[in-house]
Formats: sequence, structure tokens, C-alpha cells
Amino acid sequence: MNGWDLFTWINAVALFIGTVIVFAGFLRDARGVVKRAKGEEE
Amino acid sequence: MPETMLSWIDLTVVITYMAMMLGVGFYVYRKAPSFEEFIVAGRSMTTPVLVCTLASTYYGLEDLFGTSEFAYNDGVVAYFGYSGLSLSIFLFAALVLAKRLRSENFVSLPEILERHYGRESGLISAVASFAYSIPALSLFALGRVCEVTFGIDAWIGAMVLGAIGLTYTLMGGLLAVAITDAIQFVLMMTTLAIGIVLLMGDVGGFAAVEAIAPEGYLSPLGAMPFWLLIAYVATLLSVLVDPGFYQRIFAARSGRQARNAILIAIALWLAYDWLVTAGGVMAKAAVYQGALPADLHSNDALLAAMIFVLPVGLVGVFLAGVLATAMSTMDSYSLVAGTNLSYDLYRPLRNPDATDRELIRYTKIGIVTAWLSGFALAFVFDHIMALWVFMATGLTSTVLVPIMAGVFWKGKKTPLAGTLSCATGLVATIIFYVVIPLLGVENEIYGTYIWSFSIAGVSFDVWQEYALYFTLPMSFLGFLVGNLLGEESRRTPDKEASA
Repeated sequence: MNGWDLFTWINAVALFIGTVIVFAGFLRDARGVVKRAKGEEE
Repeated sequence: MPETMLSWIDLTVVITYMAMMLGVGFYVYRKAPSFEEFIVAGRSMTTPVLVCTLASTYYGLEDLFGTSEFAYNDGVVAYFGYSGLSLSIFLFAALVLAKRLRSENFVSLPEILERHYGRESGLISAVASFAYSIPALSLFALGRVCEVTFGIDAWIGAMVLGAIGLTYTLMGGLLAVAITDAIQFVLMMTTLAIGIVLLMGDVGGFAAVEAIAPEGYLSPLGAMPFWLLIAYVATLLSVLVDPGFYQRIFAARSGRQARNAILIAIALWLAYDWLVTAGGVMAKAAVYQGALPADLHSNDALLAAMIFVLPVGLVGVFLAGVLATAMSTMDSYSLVAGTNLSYDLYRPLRNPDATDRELIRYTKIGIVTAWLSGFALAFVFDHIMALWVFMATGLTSTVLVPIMAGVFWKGKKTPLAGTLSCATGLVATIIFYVVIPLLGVENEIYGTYIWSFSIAGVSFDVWQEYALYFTLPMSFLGFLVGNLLGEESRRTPDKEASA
């Protein structure tokens, strides 16, 4: 494995984990966002 | 017509994804939302929601396949020379623009100009924004993916999948777009991360690329002409005037959440861009190894490589991600175009006191108009990428100078300065794009027009991609002349803030 391969691995892992964390945050907030966007109480 | 290369498992995954998109439209549908609820989702978006919608909207298939094509042909310069610089412009937007724009409670990009300079600037920029937001490129890309993977005619694929995007956008406005964006975000990012790692293992990593790489292929600045790189970078200024990007800032719960979302999205884009670049260069190695066909079109390199390397089931998830990439761009810009028609053209021109119900009705008419225009252009016009570059240049030339002056310049700003700046930028773009093909010759290698001439024995080459170097100074000149000759408006956001 050379430096380019390592760089690619790091980016793939970072993207995967980052996506999972952001999506978890989305799931946490989604209900509140939908309620607020529909003008309902949170 | 090619036959589909997919298994029934992959097709089921793709069909399930389509059904989910429509389901979201029904879930968020509300009979009588307010205009602000429909257009900026009631300014309710938190950081994670914004990250999902920013990341998936701003990266369309032109990035997925355009960047991988760039990498396939020219190597890692696609990342270091192009993507890296574009993300630095996003960084500027996050740190300098986001909070300032969110605090003003704008609804659309032309409204910034309308409030700073008056009605005329708002109207000109609305026309430029509408033209830019016509989703021709994403509908074309959607059709092409359908043709390559499902074996159906491109126009049929674009019509069916485009109609699904159109339906949920009409039903739920930005809220439906944002929620579908989140699903699309996960599909896009995760399948790419998995697929590129598998592809790297399959071709033998970068050692295999080094074995076949032409000179400069793995050099960060590559072998591209420096001025062409500069010209590409100039087109990236469109980030600073992108109406879809602005709409998401306006929809944030606060300026801080908007800034944080852009910063997180930048980090994800950095990783995503590298993986797309790596996919392009490894597809090249796969072609040399005979794993992919020798006559593979560079634009299809990444798609072909991923279908080759991913197992059954994950191919379906990846394709859903690819379709999601195009749909998330198409739905967002159709909504922007609808807002331009209703809020930025109909309201100031015909009915300043329009009710929310009227505005939403005209927004929906605008969404459908933009979608139909995009569909017609996508399958009638041959040079779809050139058309998009023209639209992006037109919008940047029209609004970049007056928006930056409006937001950052605290001195005298006259309505005439805004109008002249917008008008000269737009007219200069049209003149440049008419004159260069007339005076120059078409370069088939770079797919552009170049006008060569010499002055006092020194030869010059003017590429069509240099348009912004001509149009932005013209727009700035228009601003200066208008500021010199015009009279200051009585009401601007600056004055209201200091009052």
C-alpha cells in the first residue's frame, strides 16, 4: 500500500463515518423540523 | 437500445428507492402551507438537516461524472487543481457570508438585490437565476444513466424519474426536497466510499495506476494548461451566487447553524471529491488491464468501474445513489426557478400584495415551467454542458458584483449602480458568447472556441472559458458608473439596520 492508497482509505473511512454521524443527527432532528416547517408546535 | 445489465435484486432496490421518494412527498404534504413554509421550510433547518441537503444538492452528476472524467483523462489534478479550489470558495461562503445573509431573513437571491438596489436589479437577477436553475443538465444526466444501466431510452428515463422528483417537490416544497436529499445523501456517500475501496483492491491500488500513468498524471497540478485551470476556477465563482446554496442558508434555523453545516459539508466534499478522483484514475488502470472495455467513454468511466466491482445488491444501492445525485439537484433547482417566477417576478411586476396562496400557486407553475424547459433543452440541445457553463457565467456576471457590494460595501449604493451592474454583466456575457465563436475556431480537444490574434507581434489566445475575466470587470464598471450618476435610495438594509 503506497501513500495514495492510504489517502484513499482515510477518505473512504472518513466519508462513511461522517455520513453515518450526520444522518444520525438528521434522524434526531427530522421530526422537529417537519413540525416546525408545518407550523405546528414542537 | 442497450439491454439492462442489472439483476432483479438491483432493480428492486432502485424501485424501492423511487417509492420512498414519493412516500416522502405524501408524508410532508400539507394542503395550505404558508409561502415561507413552502419555500424555506419555515426556516426550521438544523445543522444535520442542512448538511444533508447541501451536500446532495450541490453535488450533481456533473460532479460525479465530470470530476471522474477529468481525473480519468488528466489525473489527480482533478482534485488538487479543481475541487480543492472550489471548496476554498465554499469556505469563504461559510465564514463570511452565511451569518450575514441569514440575519436578513431573505427568501431568494434576487431579493437581496431588490432590497439593496430596488426593483429593477431584482428583476434582472431573477431572469438570470431562473435561466441558471432550469434543470436541463440534471435531467439529461438522469436520462443518460437510465440508458446506460436500465437499457431504456434516455428521454423516457428522464421523464419517469424526473416526474417523481417533480411530484414530491410540488407536494412538499423545500421540506420534501430536504428530506429526500437526506436519503439521497446517505446513498450517494456510503456507496461511493464502499465502491472505491473495492475498486482499489480489484485493480491493485495506485501501484497499478503508476505503472500506466502518462507524465503528470499523478502530479497535483498535472499537465493542463495553466490558463485553462484558471478559467475553470473562475467558473467556480458561481458558488458565491448559487441560488440553491443561498436558499439553504435562508432556511437555516440560525446563521450559526448555516455556517456549521457548510463547514461540515466541506469536510465531506473533500473526501467525496478525492474518492471520485481516485475512481476516475483507477478506472483508467482497469481499462489498461482489460477489465473494462478499451473504447470506454471517459464520461462513463466511474459508472462502468463501479458496476464492474460492486456485488449484486450494492450495484442497485449505488445506482439509486447515482439517480439520487441527479434528482436532488433537479428538484432543488426546479424549486428555485419556481421561487424566481413567483416571488421575484410575479410579485414585484404584477402583484406586490400577493397572498401566500397566490405565491405558492405561481411557484408551482414556475416549477413545472422550469422542469418542462429543462426537459426540452436536455433532449433537443446538443451541447448541454456548454449551455450550463453559459448559464452559470451569465448568473455570475449579473449578480456577483452587486451582491458582494450590497453585502460588504457600507458606503454609497444607488439603485442605478445595481441595475447597471446587473445589466452590463448580463449583456457582456451574451456579447462574449456570440463574438468568440464568430471570431475564433472550435478546438475539438477541449470542446471550446478559441480566438487567436496578435498585437505588435505578440500572439494571444482568448478561450470561451475566459468570459468572466471580461464580464466581471464590465459589471464592476457598470456599478461604478451607476454609483457616480445615480441617487441613493431612501431605504436599504444598511440604513434600516443603523436606524
